[in-house]
Amino acid sequence: MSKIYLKAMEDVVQRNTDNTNRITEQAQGFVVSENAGDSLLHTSFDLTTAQSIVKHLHASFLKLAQSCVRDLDTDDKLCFLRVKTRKHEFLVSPEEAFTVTVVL
Amino acid sequence: MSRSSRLSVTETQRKSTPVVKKAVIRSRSYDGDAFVNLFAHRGARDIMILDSHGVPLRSTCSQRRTFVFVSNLKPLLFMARNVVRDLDPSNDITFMRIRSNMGEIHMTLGTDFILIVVQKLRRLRSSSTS
Repeated sequence: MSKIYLKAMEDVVQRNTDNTNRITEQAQGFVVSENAGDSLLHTSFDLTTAQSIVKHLHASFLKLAQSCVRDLDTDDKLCFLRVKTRKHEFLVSPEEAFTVTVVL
Repeated sequence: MSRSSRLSVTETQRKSTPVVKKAVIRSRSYDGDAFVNLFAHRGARDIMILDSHGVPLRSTCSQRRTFVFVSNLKPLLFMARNVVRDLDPSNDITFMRIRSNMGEIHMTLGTDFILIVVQKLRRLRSSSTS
């Protein structure tokens, strides 16, 4: 399962190198993780930072935000999440199979 | 949305916000009602003010609706604070924004209060994941 995602991820990275470079120009970095197993797929950070972002933001906080939106309105669905702190800003975009987080 | 409720929102806003926020409010209008009216004009549907522990103090919508929002958003707010603290102990959350298909929820986490603005979209937006 993860190998299929990994291979597809490599293809996507190859095709979107320009987009990735454009993101890293304006942001500190980005993290892409797989939804099913909450495993790290692609990142521009070092491994420790990326793992902590995946563990805290994607695995627990994003799930709570999604269930919160679902509780407020059953027809609604979370599209985007921005968390602004004093030092950084986390932009979390949950997709069907992947979750992308950009840190400004 | 009663008039006294709107006035109360503005009074609480003026009392609890720091000086910077007051300046921001004054740049919009000196009249408290205009502040709320401007929010409504720009698409804000509801405004709620909570204290730092998550107890709702003032709201522009009904008590029942306020309770629904607060009971759902309170664990999210506190978890957000904990998550940011876990990632970097010297960092602190200031603002959070949840975008869903039908609307947006903006949450300002100050030291004394929590301000929640619920905003509805004009048209239904198809999600990229649907």
